Amino acid sequence: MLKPDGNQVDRQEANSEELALLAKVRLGDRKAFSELYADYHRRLYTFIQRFLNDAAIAEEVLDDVMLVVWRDCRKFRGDSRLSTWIFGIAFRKVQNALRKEQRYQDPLNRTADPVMLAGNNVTYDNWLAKALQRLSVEHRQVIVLTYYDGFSYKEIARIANCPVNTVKTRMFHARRNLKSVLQELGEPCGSSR
Amino acid sequence: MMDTQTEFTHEEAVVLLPWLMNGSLSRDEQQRLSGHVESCIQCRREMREHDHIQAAAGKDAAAAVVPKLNVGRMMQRIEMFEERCAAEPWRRVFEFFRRRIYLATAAAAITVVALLTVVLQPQPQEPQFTTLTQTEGLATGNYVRTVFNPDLSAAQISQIVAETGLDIVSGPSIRGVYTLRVQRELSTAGMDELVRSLRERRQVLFAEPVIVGAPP
Repeated sequence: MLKPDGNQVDRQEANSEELALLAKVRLGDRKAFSELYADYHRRLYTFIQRFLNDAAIAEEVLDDVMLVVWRDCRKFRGDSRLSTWIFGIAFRKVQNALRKEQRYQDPLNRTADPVMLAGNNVTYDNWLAKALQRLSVEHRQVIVLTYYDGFSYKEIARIANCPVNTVKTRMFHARRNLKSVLQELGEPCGSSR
Repeated sequence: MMDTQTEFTHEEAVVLLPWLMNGSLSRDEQQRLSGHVESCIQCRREMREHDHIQAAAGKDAAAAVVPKLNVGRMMQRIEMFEERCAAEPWRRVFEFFRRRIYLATAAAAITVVALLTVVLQPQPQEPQFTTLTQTEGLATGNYVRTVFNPDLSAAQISQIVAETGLDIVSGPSIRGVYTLRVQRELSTAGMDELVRSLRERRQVLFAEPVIVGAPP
């Protein structure tokens, strides 16, 4: 069950390669930027789409994120992995998009589920994907960044711009909520295996 | 043999398990945590749950439908952005300062000081601020926004919440606020009583009801 320590080495190597690309991007190298865009496309899209179910909006937000990366590439100080910085930008863009969507929802539609968003056009077969849609944004974020994207709790704290203990606490409650949601969905929670 | 004093306590270990599973803990944390997990049945059971979630996440990620990569579209946006910067001199100046944040910060600080010394008038309107009773994003129902004693562990908070017949919907926020949903239907008097009983607990620093009504 435990991942080998080599995982840390893989993460460092990947980060070094990305930093090399970023160094070129800082010089205005568009080819390097398009490589970076291609590298992050799938990861960022799937992350954003967990919160913004509308595929078109998710794509637009993804491009917004990478435009910020291009524009602000010199701001990255190297005190975290590049992916941490980029996902931090992505989450802020997601939050902005969520606020915009809530403003455009029918103000009298008070029965709107807080975690279901306008333009929901995605269905989920996977039990975890279904369950995630029932969690609050904060709880969903910590689950996705940990289990899908492999970030450490310190990195998640940077992405979410909150203290490390808040991340740990949110994970604790998120997992409890996941268990309740799984029971409602009639799915096993794993401990009985 | 592991020095048991360097091992995590069970409460510390439980909250770190997800990151043990995804391999992102430091080597020191991993060793300390593994030492505890080896001797803790409850943690090993939790690890199986994490394993289950991790496996589902892997399958879900692999099956994700992602739009076709369109680098050309992205590069068009970059070119438009650069053209706009080149065409609008003020934007060039703005970008110059934005990229040199220290200059921008100094300029902003000077501007703020100048404004404060010249314009010191009371605000005629009430200031905009966010209240803990804001209902944005909440479905119909009764909620309580709560702040707990920061010394409490997540498990202790969970227990208090369960004892009072509430569910944690979200939180903690950056300011430590939890949004709790009332599981059963309560009258106004019932809500008042619930909030009063929460406030009486010394572990609860703040509790405020939030009632999101049904549409007319």
